[in-house]
Amino acid sequence: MARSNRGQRIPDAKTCKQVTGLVSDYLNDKLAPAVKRDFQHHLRLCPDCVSFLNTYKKSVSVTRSIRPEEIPPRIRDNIVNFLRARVGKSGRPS
Amino acid sequence: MSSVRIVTMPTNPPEPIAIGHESPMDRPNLSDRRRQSSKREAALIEGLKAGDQEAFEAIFNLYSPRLYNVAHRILGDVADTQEVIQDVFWAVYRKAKSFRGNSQFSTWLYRLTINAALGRIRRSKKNKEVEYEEFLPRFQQDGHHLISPVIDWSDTLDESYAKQQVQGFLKDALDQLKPMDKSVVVLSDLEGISDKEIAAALGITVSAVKTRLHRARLFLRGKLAVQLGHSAA
Repeated sequence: MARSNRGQRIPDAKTCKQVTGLVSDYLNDKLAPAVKRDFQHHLRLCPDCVSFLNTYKKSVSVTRSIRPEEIPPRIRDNIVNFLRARVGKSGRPS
Repeated sequence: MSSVRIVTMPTNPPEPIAIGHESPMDRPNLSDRRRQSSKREAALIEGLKAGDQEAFEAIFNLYSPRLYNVAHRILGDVADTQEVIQDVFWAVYRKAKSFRGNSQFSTWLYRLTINAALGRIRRSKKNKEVEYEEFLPRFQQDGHHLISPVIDWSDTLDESYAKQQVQGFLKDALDQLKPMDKSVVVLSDLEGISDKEIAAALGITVSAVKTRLHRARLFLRGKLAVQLGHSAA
């Protein structure tokens, strides 16, 4: 791993293992320009990493498409009744 | 020099900025909306601190759907989720005055919810988590993928499986994450919360959030690959 002029560690993006470790930062466009260049250079030469990147992106997009779990009306009623009873007993919060 | 084995020449690498939460074009309207809603939220919090039950009810209506979703994704059980949510809102009502505004109000609510959910899992010992290693990518000593070619199943996924079925695979995989990792994925990928806010809600560093999120996503990708009949490596 290289170091910048300020002594910060700069990750390498030269092997498949290194590229895999940087996939998330690459997709969020958070890589330093030199690292991003190496990353993209690697992708141009390595179909395995392109496949890996595509499947990583796909699994994130499927995760994000999971619909929120809605509160069933009966459960919401239970929660509201619980809170009403507690708040009613306690009056103002201390 | 690159140490990559050259197999075929070149395809353009996939572009970044594919999984961010908001595009720059959304920002003007978003910031207007945020200003308005944070003003309204500030008024509600003041009301809550003063013991105004209408403010409490408004806060419940505003946040309970999100907090229910978060707690349910972590716990996977309706009855447990109900207990967590009622305890969280009861704590919100009692402890409103202890909210000093050092973090966003939503961060405080997420922290209460996650702590309650994780505490419940610890006590119940019902955790279904599995070892990650089997589903993470593996490499040779020189850093190349252990198994080559890596199959790109991203395009065929939608053709071969119904959306609901694929989401079902992912939900099962989510349930097998370690509770803290699951919390990070739920807050980041399902709720769209920033790494900074997640770090504040979970009491860990931003760097730890990124590490957990990446490892959890690698695991989810591996589980999905295996489910589809491919290697996770």
